[in-house]
Amino acid sequence: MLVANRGEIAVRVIRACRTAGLQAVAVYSDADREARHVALADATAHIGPAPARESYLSIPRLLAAARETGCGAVHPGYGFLSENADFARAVEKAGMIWIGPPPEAMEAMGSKISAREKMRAAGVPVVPGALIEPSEEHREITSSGEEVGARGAARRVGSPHPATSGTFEEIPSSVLSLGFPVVVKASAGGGGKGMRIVRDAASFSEAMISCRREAVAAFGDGTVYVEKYLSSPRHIEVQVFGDTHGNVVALGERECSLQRRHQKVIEECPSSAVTPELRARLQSAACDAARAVGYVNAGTVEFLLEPSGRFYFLEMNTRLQVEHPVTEEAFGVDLVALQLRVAAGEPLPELPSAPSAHAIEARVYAEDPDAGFLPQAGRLLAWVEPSGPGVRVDSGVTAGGEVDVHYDPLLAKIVAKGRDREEARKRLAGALGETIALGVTTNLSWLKRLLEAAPVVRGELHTGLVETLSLPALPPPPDEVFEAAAWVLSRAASEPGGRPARGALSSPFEGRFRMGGA
Amino acid sequence: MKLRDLRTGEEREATGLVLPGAVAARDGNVAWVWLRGETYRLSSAGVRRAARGGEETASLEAPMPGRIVAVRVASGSSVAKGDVLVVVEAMKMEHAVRAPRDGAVNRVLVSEGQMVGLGELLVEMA
Repeated sequence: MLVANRGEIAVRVIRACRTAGLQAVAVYSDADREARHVALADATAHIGPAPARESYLSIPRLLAAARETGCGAVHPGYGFLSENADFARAVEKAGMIWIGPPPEAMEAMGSKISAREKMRAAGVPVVPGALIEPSEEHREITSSGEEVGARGAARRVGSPHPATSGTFEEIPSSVLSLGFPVVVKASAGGGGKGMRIVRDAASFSEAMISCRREAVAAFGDGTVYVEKYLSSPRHIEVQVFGDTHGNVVALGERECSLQRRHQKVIEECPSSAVTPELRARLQSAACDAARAVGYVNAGTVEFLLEPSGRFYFLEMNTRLQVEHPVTEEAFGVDLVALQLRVAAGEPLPELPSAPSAHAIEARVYAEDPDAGFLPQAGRLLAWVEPSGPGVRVDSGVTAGGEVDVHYDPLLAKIVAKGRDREEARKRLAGALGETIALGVTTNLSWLKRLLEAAPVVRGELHTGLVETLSLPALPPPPDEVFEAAAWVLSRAASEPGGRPARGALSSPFEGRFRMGGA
Repeated sequence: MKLRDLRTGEEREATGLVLPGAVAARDGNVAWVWLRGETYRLSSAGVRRAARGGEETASLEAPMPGRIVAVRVASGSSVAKGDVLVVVEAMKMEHAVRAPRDGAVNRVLVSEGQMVGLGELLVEMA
């Protein structure tokens, strides 16, 4: 099986292949020659230079790699081409099995606008929203001064960043009728890319233009969707699974309300806001959504849940989700193994009807929380993962490895499981404190403080919570830190214990200090 | 040796005593230290603080490694505090570098499409 991805999700899929007795083929760009997923695969194929457009997003190169290595199936992971129906069709046309939903279901859910219409028709509640008509799209001036139309679709080829300026002279009436604040987002998107909250008419134009530019860069499609902004909702999503025998089941919910820059950072299963009665309603709506598009394989139906208990369809992600491990841990299932069985034509087995544990996941990113969560890059001089009862780590990095500017800065997902939420939360905070990442700034300490914040401890979450919290500042470094820094800086780089060998994990028990040097 | 904590700017003398529990690594002039669940970056005092940005950074240096997606000013442009000068994109996220004060642009050192490194000078203001 070809694993058409990189990083921790490629590692996760390779592990599932081993369990299923399949040989896994890893693909890699120039930047990933020494990456962990490449080292763990049974065979490898080079697919091009570092930029994703020329490697992990290149359908011809991925198909050539699959053919050359004799693959019979392709797993897309998440991100990259995982929700690209053209890729799914190309894989099937090449006589290989696509580990994912039918391309038609991907297309039906791929555009937020058509998805909303389908959901409304299927009786699933949706948030009021508006699509900007093509005739109302803004015009913009290129750097050469030439005025051009700005249809996203027309700009798909070879020109990812043409917009340097532009305005919306008039706000469409369809947007005004929603009332501010509104959310502007990429129609083709997921993962919060391009999303912006617009609080008044004056900032609408700039938000639209930035959103469109990010949408074109991320998805090659600049269509923008505007929706009413709900105040203090929870982000609750339902894991669904369909098979080729007409069965569609739901595997509970995940609460993903803790987000920064509209991207999830901590997810859990079950949600502290979901009662068995509400879970039944959510699961029923999610299954209706999946059936409405003939869904097969793993998918996620996202909802916004208001404090009143009303919920609205947000979107459906037609792939495995980054945060799938919390469902796996809480329900005791292997979702990737299920994906493989369903893709092979097997019916879904009997699955648990309710979670038997509580699981919380933290996403460890190479980013600087003190600087607006800006992505960071560089070499990981040290990397030590946590372990212990109830702790699971899905990671794609090793000590000595490079965190590359070309890709998503997710280093690892740390998942803790407990008998109840509090046990899981404490285990996760402990595991984050055990994790060592040197050489690249990460959000580890911030995640730990977020888990200790009072509303998070109480489970009183909403999607705007992270922005409103002021987490306690870190204390200044104790004397030992200055001593350790003086020690490591005064050593010549040539001395023993210098920079760890690439790909080698150093043991925390080697001595009182471990060190690397450049 | 005099050392500076790169987050708080705190400076302290240290001799390099070996104390248990810390994990340290060196990257050029910067020491990375992990101690009891927290990570610190320090440098020899006198070494310039690494460029850092925020959502509304006042720095005219690249706040992160990435690609220049928009240059909104030219040499000689006069700008008001808060005006967007340059937009940098990395990992599909855009970050606007804004004018820290009213003034004139002396020099623009980057162009659209160019890749820049962390801390690279983008714009010089008079």
